[in-house]
Amino acid sequence: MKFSNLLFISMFRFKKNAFGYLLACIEIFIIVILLIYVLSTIRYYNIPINTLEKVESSRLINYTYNSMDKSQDELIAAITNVEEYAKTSTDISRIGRSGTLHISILKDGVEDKNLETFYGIANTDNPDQIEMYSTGGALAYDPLIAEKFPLTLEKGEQLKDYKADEGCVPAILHSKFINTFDIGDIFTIRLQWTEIYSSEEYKISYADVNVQVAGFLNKSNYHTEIGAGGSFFTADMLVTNEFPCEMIILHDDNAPFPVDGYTYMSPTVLIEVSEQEGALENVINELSPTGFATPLGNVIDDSIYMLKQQTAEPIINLIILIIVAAAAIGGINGMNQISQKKDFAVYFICGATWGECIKTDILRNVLIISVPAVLSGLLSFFLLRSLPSNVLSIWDFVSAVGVVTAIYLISSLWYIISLKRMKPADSVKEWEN
Amino acid sequence: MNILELKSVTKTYNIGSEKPVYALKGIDFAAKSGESIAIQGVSGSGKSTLLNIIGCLDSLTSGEYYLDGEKVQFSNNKHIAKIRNKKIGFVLQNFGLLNDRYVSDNIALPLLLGNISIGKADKLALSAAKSAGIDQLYDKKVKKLSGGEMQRVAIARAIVTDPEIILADEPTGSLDKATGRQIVEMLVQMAQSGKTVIIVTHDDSVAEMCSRRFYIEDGQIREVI
Repeated sequence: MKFSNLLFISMFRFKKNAFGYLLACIEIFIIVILLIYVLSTIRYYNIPINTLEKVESSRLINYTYNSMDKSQDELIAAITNVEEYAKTSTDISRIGRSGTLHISILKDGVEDKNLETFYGIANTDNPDQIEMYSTGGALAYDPLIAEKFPLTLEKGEQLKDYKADEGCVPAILHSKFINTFDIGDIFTIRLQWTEIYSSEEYKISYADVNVQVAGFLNKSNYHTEIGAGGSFFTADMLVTNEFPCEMIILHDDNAPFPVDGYTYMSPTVLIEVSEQEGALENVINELSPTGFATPLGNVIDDSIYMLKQQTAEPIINLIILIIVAAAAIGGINGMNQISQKKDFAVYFICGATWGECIKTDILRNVLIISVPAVLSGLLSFFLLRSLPSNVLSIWDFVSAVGVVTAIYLISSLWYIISLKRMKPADSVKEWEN
Repeated sequence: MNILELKSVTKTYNIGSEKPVYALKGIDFAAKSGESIAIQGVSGSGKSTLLNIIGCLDSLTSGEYYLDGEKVQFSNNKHIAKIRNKKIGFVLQNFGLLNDRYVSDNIALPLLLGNISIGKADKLALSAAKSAGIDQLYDKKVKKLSGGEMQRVAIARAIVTDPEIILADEPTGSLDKATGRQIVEMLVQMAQSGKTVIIVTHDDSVAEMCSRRFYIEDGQIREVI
C-alpha cells in the first residue's frame, strides 16, 4: 500500500476524538515538562561528576584554608607558608593557585554597565558596602590548575592551549557573552582586590588587564560545594548564578597584575609532588597543621560521592515518573487500541492484510505521540529556558521526548505482541459480537 | 461459467484436545455471474463459515475453491487480501463501518487499501455513493445515519471496487421490514446487472427474492428447488 494511503487511513482514528486527543496532549505535556526538569537535574550533577572523574589526581594535593573562620591576615600567612615551603622542599615539583577577584569590563576606560558584569566598583568611596563585591568576579587559574582541570567549553580552546597576544591574558568567558564577544577579541577588565584586609582595616587596589577571549564555557552552569577535609571547585561549578564569575583568566608569574591579590579570597592551592617515594605523605604531614592538605584523589572521590548522593533523589524521581508516565500513556494507548482493534475487522473485509492493519496501528501511534510530544517538548523547553536558572540543554528536551515516545511505542508493541496474529474471520466475528 | 466453485470443502475447528468439530462437511457449491443466491439455515449450521470461506476471510481445511477459474491459495495472505479487495464486496448485519468516520472515508477505504490515489478514490467513492442513492450523505459522519442509510453506505463500499461477488451476511438483520426489503431489492438488482450476490439470511421473504435458495444443515448444503 502507498505510504500516503497508509498515512491517510492511520489518521482516521487520529482525527477521531479531538477532546481525548487534547487531554492526551496535556498529559504528555505534563510528563514531558517533568521529565525535562528531572533529566536536567540529573545532568546538572552528572557533568561535574564526569569532569571530576577525568582528572588525573595522582601526585596531587589539594590545600585549602578555611577563610570563613579566620582573618585574612591568617589566610595570607597560611598561603605564604605553603609557598615558602614549596620553594625549599624537594618533595614538591609544582604549585598552583586559584582564587577569585572582583572585576569590571571597561569600555573606553570606564565600566561598561551594558554588560552587567560589575557590581561594586562605584562603592570604593564607601568601603562599608564592600560586601556587594561578592556578587561578581573572575576566577584566576594558574597553568597547573588549567592543565589539571580542563573546562567544559561551548566553543574555543582550553586556557592552557590558547596562545594569547603579547600583553594579553587568555580568558574563558561565561556563556552569556557568547553573542557579545568572539574568540580572539581583546578587551580590558579592571581587577580589584583588598591589599590589606582585617576586621578593622582594608585597602582596595586595582589593576587594568587586557584579556583575550580563548573560549566560552558550556551553556549549562554547575555549582556545588565540596566540604569535609578540604574543598575543591571546578570552574564550571563556580560560574553560576549563586556565584556569578564572569570569566576564568589564566595567569602566570609574568601576568600584568599582582597575583598575590587574588589569593585573599577563596584560595585553592594545588600542589604537585615529586616522584620521590613518600613525597605525598611528607607534604601532607607538613602542611596539615596550617590548613586542609588532602590527596586530590580523596577530595575528588568525596566530591563524586557527594554529587552522586545529590543525584539519588532525582534518579528516584525519574523512576517514579517513568512508571507514572508508562501507566498514563499506556492507558491512553490501550483505550485507543481497543477501538483500533475493532477497526481491524473493517480493514480486513476491505482487503487489508494483517501486516497492513499493524502498520496502520503503528503509524497511528507514532502520529498520536509524536505531534504532542514534540509540541509539548518545545513548549516545555522554552518555558523552562525562560526561568532564571538557565541550565537546560537541547539534550534534556530530546531525552524527555525520547522517553515519552519510547514508553508509547513499547506499550504499542506490547499490545501488538499480545494481539498475536488475528484471523480476518475471527476479527469480523469479534467485531459483530 | 461459474464465477466461484467449491469442491468437497471441509472446515473443521479444533477445540481443546477433543475431536475436531466439523463446520462444513464436503460442501460442493457453485455460483454464476448474475445469480442472487440465498443461503439459509439455523444458527451454528455453518452458513457464516461458508460465507467466510467464499469471502476469503477464513481458510478451508480440505477441498478446493476456485474463484473466477483460479484456485484460491489460502496460504498466501497477500493474494487472499487482494481477492477480498478486488473481487469481493461485503455487506454485514451490523454494517461493518467505521462509525466515527465520514461516509466518504468508509466508501473509499477499499480503494485506498487497493493503492488507488486519495483523489481518485474520492471520485470513485462519490460515484459509488450515487449508485447506492446516498450521495447527499457523502460528507456526513456514519454515526449520524439511520440503519438503512448505514446499510446503503456498506453497499456503496461493497461495490466501489466493482467486484464480481457481493456477500451479504444477514443484511436485513438490523433493519425494519420495509428498509430491509429496499436493501435486498438493491442487492438483487446488482445481481441482475451481472454480479453474483450471495445472501445469508434467516428471513424467508428475503430468500424468496433471490434466484436460487440453498439450505445448510449440520455442515452440509442442499439446494431448495
